[in-house]
Amino acid sequence: MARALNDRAFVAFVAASSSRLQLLAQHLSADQVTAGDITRTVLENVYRKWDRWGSSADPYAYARRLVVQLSTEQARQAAAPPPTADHQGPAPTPRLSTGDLATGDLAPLVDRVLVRRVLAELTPRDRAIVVLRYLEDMPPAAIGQQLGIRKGLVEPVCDRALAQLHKYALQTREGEA
Amino acid sequence: MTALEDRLRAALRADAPPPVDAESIMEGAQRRRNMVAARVGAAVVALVVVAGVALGLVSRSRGDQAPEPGAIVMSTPAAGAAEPQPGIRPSIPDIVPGRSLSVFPDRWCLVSSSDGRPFGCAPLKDHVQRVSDDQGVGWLVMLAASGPDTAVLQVEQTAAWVNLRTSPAPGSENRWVGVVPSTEAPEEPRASRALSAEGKEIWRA
Repeated sequence: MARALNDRAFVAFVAASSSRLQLLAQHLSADQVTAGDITRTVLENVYRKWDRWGSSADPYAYARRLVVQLSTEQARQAAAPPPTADHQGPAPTPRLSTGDLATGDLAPLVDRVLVRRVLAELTPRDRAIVVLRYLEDMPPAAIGQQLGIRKGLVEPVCDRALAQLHKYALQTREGEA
Repeated sequence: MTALEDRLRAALRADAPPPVDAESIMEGAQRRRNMVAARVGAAVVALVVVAGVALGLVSRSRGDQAPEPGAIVMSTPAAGAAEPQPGIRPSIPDIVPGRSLSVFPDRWCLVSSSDGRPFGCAPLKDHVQRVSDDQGVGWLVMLAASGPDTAVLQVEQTAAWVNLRTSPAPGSENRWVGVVPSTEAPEEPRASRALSAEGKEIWRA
């Protein structure tokens, strides 16, 4: 009985969280297949511990920490030498969403391409900082704690990434003009 | 900066993949649990055999009387007493296609999943073995008593640490097995280690 209830809770957790966890892994590892493997490994790990966790546990935080750790490690292995703008890895190609098609607005698609370019130029650690800050909306202190770095390092990395995004956006606009 | 931050947020959140099938995750985890249970059973059987053999040795060294005619006697112990025996293996999932893992008190062996034939054994102090699967593909296999907090096993290559696909191994929750195709870890590992979910190194050899 307790098992069935726990399983139902786990199914709900996977339905609510797995998409975001996979997206996180995708941005960090820059490889869709690896991201899928990492997400499955992490979710199996969560399921194995599920029965032992009390109500105060935060399975999403645990899963996110594990995704970041595995994806960053994977990216470090793949990033020797570090990725450049020319080498963007086999990440999925940004595609037009139904919203883009409905409005005919290509700006979101352009942004996705530019963001991917910015992320590809960052070191795995800096990429994790930017993704945790803007995908997960984590505060700098929590990011610092998770990655084992000073929280003061977070904002400068994010500022640099935004400046780079701004630069690429300007270049794109000039290219269109 | 805020508008740019919003664009960055939106771009990161776009193209989200569909949710993972929870049932398949639970099945995968359950398979691993069963694998542990089956291997614990196999380890107990092996321990009983070894204990019986050891008792026989002690009994002989003490010069105990010969058994009565017709009594059941354990076979004479041999150096390879704990080797996997064809035909008496429990059903154990493959570590790599066609190969499964048997852990004994003093060694660990990669054996044929179909008939239990050993492909290679190593003392428990040796953490890494290489084996080819039934398609001839090479794999690096690692066994580590790295504790229940293990999240991932790794081997060190010149360029970087390589993650192994990590799952619980026979005997206890303390022992873990990791595998990776040899092509991803072609060198003799310089070191091996286990990381916790927090990324902390909790075991190293």
